[in-house]
Amino acid sequence: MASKPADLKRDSEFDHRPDELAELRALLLGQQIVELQELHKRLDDPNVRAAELSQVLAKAVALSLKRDRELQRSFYPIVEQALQISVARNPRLLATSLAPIIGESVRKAVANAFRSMAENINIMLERSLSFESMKWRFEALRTGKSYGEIALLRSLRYKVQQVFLIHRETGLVLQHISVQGEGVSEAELVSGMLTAIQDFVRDSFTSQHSQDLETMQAGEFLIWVHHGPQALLAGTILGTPPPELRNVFARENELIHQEFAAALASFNGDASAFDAARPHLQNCLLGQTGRPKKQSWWLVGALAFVVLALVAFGALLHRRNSRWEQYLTRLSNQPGIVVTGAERSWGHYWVWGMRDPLSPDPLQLAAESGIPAASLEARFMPYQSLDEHFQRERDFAAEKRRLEQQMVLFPVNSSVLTPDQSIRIDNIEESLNKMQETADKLGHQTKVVLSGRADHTGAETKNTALSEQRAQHVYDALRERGIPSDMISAVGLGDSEPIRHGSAAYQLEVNRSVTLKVQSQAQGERQ
Amino acid sequence: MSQVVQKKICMLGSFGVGKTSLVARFVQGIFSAKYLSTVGVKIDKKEIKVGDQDVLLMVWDLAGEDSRSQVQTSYLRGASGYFLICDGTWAETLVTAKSIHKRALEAVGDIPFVLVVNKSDLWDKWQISAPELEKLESEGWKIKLTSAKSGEGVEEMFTMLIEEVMRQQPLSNPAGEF
Repeated sequence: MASKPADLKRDSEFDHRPDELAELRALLLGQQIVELQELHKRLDDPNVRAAELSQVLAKAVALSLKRDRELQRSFYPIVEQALQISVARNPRLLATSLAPIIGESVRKAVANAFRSMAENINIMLERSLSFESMKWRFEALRTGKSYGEIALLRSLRYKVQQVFLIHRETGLVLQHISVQGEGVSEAELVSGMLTAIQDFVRDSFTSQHSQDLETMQAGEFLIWVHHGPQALLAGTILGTPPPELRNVFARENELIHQEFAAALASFNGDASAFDAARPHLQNCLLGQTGRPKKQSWWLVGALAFVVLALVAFGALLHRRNSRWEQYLTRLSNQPGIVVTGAERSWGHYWVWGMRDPLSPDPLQLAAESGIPAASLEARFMPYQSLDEHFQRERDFAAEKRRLEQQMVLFPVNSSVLTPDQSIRIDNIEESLNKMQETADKLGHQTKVVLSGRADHTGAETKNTALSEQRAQHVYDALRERGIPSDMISAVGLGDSEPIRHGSAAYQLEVNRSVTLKVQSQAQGERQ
Repeated sequence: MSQVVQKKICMLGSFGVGKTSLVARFVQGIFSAKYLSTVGVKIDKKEIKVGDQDVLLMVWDLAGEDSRSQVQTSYLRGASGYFLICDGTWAETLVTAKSIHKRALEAVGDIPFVLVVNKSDLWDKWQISAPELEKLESEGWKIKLTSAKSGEGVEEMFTMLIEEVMRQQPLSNPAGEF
């Protein structure tokens, strides 16, 4: 027991009394003391307490939850912190638990977003590009209706399946129609519930009681409601209706309000007064089929005329166009013509470039291509083409020029070729051969006329004979040298066509001569 | 007169007095009871003949009232009449019925109603005293004792209410064509 001396003394003074007291206690309380000690032990020992508490904890929590929300409030910070710690330690655990839920909803959301985007794009594309939309626009022009109305009438992407006219105050159905075979028999119940849901949404979610529920959607099923002061017009729609449909609902509901104002105000459950409103509801039952087309024949005729006129105009343009193109091609393919530019505007044509003088006349070619020369302005700089054809033409022209400058002279009153003139015959023969060679390549037919002359002294008849003899002698000399007979011919001009007029010796001398004149024709041309 | 007249009536009362089961066997519906707990209302219909007039009752079963939530009186709008339903074995529900009646009076005015005291089959546990009901009757209340279990009084309660409704709101052309 206690070891301090002072306590020892006090204990000894009273030590008989505790014993007695203990004895008395044992006598009186006996079993209770043992129980009390056990209780003490249970209360003091945390392990025992924990074991006992664990048995009743669940029950205690359940009881507390039944009583009030105090336990939730107390637990809330603990749960929050525990969650934080858990996420910080092992984020994968929470991620794995949530993945099935989040994955599913994300997939759904993304799929929905893509579907609606795709639908929108589809509608936009179809509306803006399709033949159908052009048809609608034309119909809108013709009938004086708006494009939207026409699109609404012709669109097939949605279908109004049922239309309800519902009394706003009571939620009772005033009139109901549906596409054949797709109605519900419980229109009254649906009407009532529709009204109830309106009230429910208004009361629960909107701060202003004037806000109305106008659209409900379940999958591809849609409910549109137009709210009038006395009645609602609701439609169940399958598909994606165009926004214009709302205007139809609004318009019909307004008309119903006008026509049935009194009946709506005094409605007491008898819906027969609204049988006459069926056509208005019918007007809302859109989208099922296109209406029969009413096309008048004069319109078809007018359209055909316009189309024909357009086609004719197009053909004319095309012809003009192709003529011009053909002309330019032909011009460009022409040796000795280089086209550097061309323009065309409102029936006038301009072309410019470079042209070898030996090439064909562009204006002449234009006329041949059907382009009036008057409407064409051609500006071509002259140049010498190195084209082989032109080179030959030039050679031919040079040879021809050389031949025509040749002159075989004779003494007075003589037709005999003097030896020095024989050299000239040799030169002539050489030139003739060269010229013939080039002419063959060019396809030209050539003929050389040998013209004999005499001076005007002496008798005229004598002079004529003399000139003939002179030409004949040159002819013979050339024939002797191998020039074919069909190439040359000889004529005597007498003194009628002197090369030089006058009586001076040098003037008379050149008139006693034979000269050459080359006649050439391109092959194919008429002789 | 062949034309069916539609009337909207509501069922009001404490939570658990058996409103829904009271009419379940007597009405035609397509909506499940879960509408009551979600939207707070479930609508059924009942055809009834009053005299030679066919009446189609649209029965709006409003979610029961308890300490936490009151009946949404906006659902009462446009109703031609209503039932106040209480439980004969549970005195407190009559108190609630009275307070609902007061609020209904404010919301839709003085329209026909019938106090329905349900569970008439449980006489041994009855808590509502006859004098109490007699007092209400003397104030002009129409009262009907019913049993959802046996079906006793259910048809009559509808007839009782609708006759009162038709008396107060006669058709605009009672003579009709006949």
